[in-house]
Amino acid sequence: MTEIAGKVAVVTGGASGIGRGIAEALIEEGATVVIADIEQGALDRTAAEIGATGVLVDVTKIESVEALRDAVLAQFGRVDIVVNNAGVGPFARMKDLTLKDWEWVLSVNLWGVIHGVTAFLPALEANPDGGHILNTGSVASFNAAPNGGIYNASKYAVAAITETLALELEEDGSKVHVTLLAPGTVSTNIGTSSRNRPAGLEGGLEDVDIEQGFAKDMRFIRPLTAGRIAVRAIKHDDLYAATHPDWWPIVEARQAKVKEGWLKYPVLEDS
Amino acid sequence: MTSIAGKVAVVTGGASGIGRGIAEALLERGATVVIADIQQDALDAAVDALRLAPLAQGATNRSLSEGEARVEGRVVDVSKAESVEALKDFVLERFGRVDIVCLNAGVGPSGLIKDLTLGDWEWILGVNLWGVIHGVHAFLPVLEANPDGGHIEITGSNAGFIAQPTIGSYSVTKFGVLGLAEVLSDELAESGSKVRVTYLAPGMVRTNIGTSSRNRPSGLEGALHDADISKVINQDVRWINPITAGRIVARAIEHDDLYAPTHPDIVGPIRERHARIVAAHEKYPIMSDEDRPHQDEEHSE
Repeated sequence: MTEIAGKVAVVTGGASGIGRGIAEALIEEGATVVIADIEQGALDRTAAEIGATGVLVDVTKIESVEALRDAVLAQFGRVDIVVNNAGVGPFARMKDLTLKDWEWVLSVNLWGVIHGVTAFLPALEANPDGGHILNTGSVASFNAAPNGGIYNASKYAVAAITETLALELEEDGSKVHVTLLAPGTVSTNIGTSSRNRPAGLEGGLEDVDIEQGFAKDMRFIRPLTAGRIAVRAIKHDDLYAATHPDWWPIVEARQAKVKEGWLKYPVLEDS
Repeated sequence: MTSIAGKVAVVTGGASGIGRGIAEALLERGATVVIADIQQDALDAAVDALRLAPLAQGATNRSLSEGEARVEGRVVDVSKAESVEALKDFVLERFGRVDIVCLNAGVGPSGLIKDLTLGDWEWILGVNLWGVIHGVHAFLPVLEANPDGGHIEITGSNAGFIAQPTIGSYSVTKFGVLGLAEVLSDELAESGSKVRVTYLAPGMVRTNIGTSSRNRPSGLEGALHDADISKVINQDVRWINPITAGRIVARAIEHDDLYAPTHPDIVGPIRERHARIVAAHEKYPIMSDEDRPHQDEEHSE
């Protein structure tokens, strides 16, 4: 997508954090933006502050995501850019997790993306000049770390759906392109994810303020910077958008472990 | 885990394919094995066959009583937490312990992402991802309670490391359980646990994964269809038998290896994906908070 100006974009989880940063970056490039969020109060405030339209959405429910799509099409007649960004990031050791913990995080981080792709892809494919889907993954899409079990599983999975979709659309000659945003440390409110945890899905997961905790010495960037990186990737049809390219050694270290596993033994043939 | 002999193992999806190969490889190393499967008829046939087969490498004697003592079968639906809990209870009741848990049950149908229904996603995530989550949830506390720990094997795929057209939902599940396996392995190591984790990454193995829909629950129909997924994953390379994949798992358990690739000779696609990720990190200079788009225009303001 060479030009953002004049396009209609929708950003889930757009009322705060990276979603808001992406929305602001799209607006500064001239897009019309719908932010969709589960928090009505934050949605109304942010929409007014940045000049976006707010729509309430629960990405864990397909009906809600389809209603979002219908609302965008009804108001603007089209949609060009879909940012599946809504996500939660609480932490716990895997042995302390309940099945409800898994259900909650997978329903937002993985099913939210599945619902977004399912609801919006046909609309983008129907555009004469296609469109763009950006899914918010994480550095945790490429490297696993203790305490992030469900988050890692969900973000690895989001990498898989994004990469496969990119390959399939390219094979089809589609004009829809796909980006996996892989944020590192961004100053957001992900450390209070549980504020939106549904009743009945309580468990062992706990909010962690990584900016004050284990990541306090890392380079944090503002959401708007992450948003501008996301928008640059959309403009250039980049599959991957890393907010922290300086974190390359983290990804490389994991790949080295994989390589070691591959090289450990000679090929075992049938005997 | 230095020795498999004398250990009690459970293998989901153990009636056929790679699961059965793992069961056979564990039996030939002297383990007692419970195979668990959703298909009663295949399960019964596999139990009968395994009980009559030589139970150790190089053995020629066939003793049904030894077979009955060391091979057991149990129906399980890994997509249901209660069913996996019941499997755990069965193994503990029958053998008093469990040391090795192979979370292997999986389906591998094909379908373009744009054609997939939510029922498709629910089916494949239910078996391939939730099956592993349920297994870890049910069995990890039991393994941790063993004085000498235990081992969890998770059957992933080469498709956990690379994406390919037509198997997106499969890759989503296999990427997902890879993330789970890596984190669990790191956490257990950090906490000094004696439980270890292996992620099996099979390439082309002669199995019945190409008829996965035989066990598709009604109500979850969609666009996913049977296809020989191993042909999609790795074309024009050598096929291996399930027992060879099983022996690779047994070797990884004995050596506490996290990754167990059946086809270490297939590295090209993984390297290529990695190279694409590298390139993405190198494409642009670091953007900091001070950088602005349209800097030229702003300078002129």
